[in-house]
Amino acid sequence: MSSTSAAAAEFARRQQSPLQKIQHLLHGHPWLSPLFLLVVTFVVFSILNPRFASANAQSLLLQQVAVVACLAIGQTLVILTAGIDLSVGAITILAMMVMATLAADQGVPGILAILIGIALAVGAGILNGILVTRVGLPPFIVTLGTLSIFTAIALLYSGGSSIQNNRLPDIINFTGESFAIGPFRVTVGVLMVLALYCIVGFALTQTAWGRHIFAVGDDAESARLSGVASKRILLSVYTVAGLIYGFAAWIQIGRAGSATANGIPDANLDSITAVVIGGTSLFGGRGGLIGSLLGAIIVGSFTLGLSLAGVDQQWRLFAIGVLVIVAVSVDQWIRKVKA
Amino acid sequence: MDYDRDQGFLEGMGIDVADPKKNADEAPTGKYTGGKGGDYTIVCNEPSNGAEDGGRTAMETCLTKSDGINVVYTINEPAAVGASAALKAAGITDAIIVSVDGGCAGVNSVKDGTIGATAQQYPLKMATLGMEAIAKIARGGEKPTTSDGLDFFNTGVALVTDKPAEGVESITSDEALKICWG
Repeated sequence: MSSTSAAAAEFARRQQSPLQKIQHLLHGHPWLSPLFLLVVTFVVFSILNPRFASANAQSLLLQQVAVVACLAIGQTLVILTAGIDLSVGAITILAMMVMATLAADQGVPGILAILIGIALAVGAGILNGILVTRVGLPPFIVTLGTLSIFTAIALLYSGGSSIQNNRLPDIINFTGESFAIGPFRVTVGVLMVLALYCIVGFALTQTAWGRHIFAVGDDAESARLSGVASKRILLSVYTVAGLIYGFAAWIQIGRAGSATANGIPDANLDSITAVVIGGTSLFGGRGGLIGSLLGAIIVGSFTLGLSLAGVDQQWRLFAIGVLVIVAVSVDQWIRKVKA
Repeated sequence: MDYDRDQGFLEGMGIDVADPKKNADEAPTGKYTGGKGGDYTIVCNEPSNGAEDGGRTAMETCLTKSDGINVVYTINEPAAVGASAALKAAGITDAIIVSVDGGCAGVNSVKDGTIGATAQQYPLKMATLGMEAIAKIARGGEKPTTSDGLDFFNTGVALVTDKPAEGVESITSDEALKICWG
């Protein structure tokens, strides 16, 4: 008895190698690795082309990554539960086309069109949630199916046409309005995304709901046995994700200056990339929201930075692919941390 | 198609295109011979996915590279609309945007001044003549011939602009609206 407790005490007192210390640090604070990566990225690209560091370039960068960063909020919640959402882009496009078509073609007042669009996105999220919790299908399969379903509905409803912003009421284009904060130009959309990060981030870290999400992601069965309503948490996660995608649709219209069913073709993969690079584990239970924002900015920085450095477009794709693999490998290494 | 249009634009401007099957291999500065001629600087060559938000992102990237852009060529009109939004956001009002396609939405963009000029093509004519040729061959008639000097049958192209330039044939946006597609 005493020898095992002595051994345990020994283990707790052991000297950790620097590598193990880093491993521990990253395990406790998952946002440190993307933060470090972002700083390195910023410094490297600023050296390659000083225009990268200008307020103008950084402002544009934020505007360019705003929509993906917004989608990454919903995607982070889903991935934290060890799920994945492939219907991200489809739900956003559906909400976008419904909002725009109602306002432009059916004469629905702007604010009502926005609310209906967002409500539709929430409904889509609920559908995903029900298929995952009640029917018990794996999230990958569910969202793979709903991806096609929602895309088809969006195309059928909009007739494949695109609606320019000159036919849309001001409130819908509002997210594209830009104004200056010091030397930076930000759009309302960017501020909206940052506000969403604060709100959802608070809910994730400071409320029981948030804690339960981590528990369900880590081990759904243990969570259930500990009294967490796993199925209800899962359903709520997909529902909230749908709500976020609805807002993303509004922001996308402002950004693109039009609503088109062909918009944001890479939304799914981009949102997953941002989450993974941000340090959230694909296996669930560990990670955080701030990391996804950093991840989205890192991907955007690569695109803009490599372009300013005169590198061919294909290499940007290559670089991001390498980044994703490195991020997941680091995540695997961090998981091996010994208490 | 993307290098065909890109190199076509550059050839029209009288810029040496180096390899006509490759984008972005031209000399970054030099002289152009189109119109009155002069010096050119190619600021950037960015992919846009032929869509509004791709066009906007591409234009923004170009604008971070240089403040003095005055001519923008885009592969199609949706990309041009995105580019125009980016220029407007940056406070640039005197850049000319040119594009290709001539669909009815695009011609309206020329009419409202977003696009300076666009090359209008006639896909409906291509489909009609194509079907007629197939029907003819099926009934034992002869195959269609290619147009002089080309390896395809030319269904025509017209430049659509409301600010015609000397020495370049063009039609107005109102005329183009009568024959546009889509």
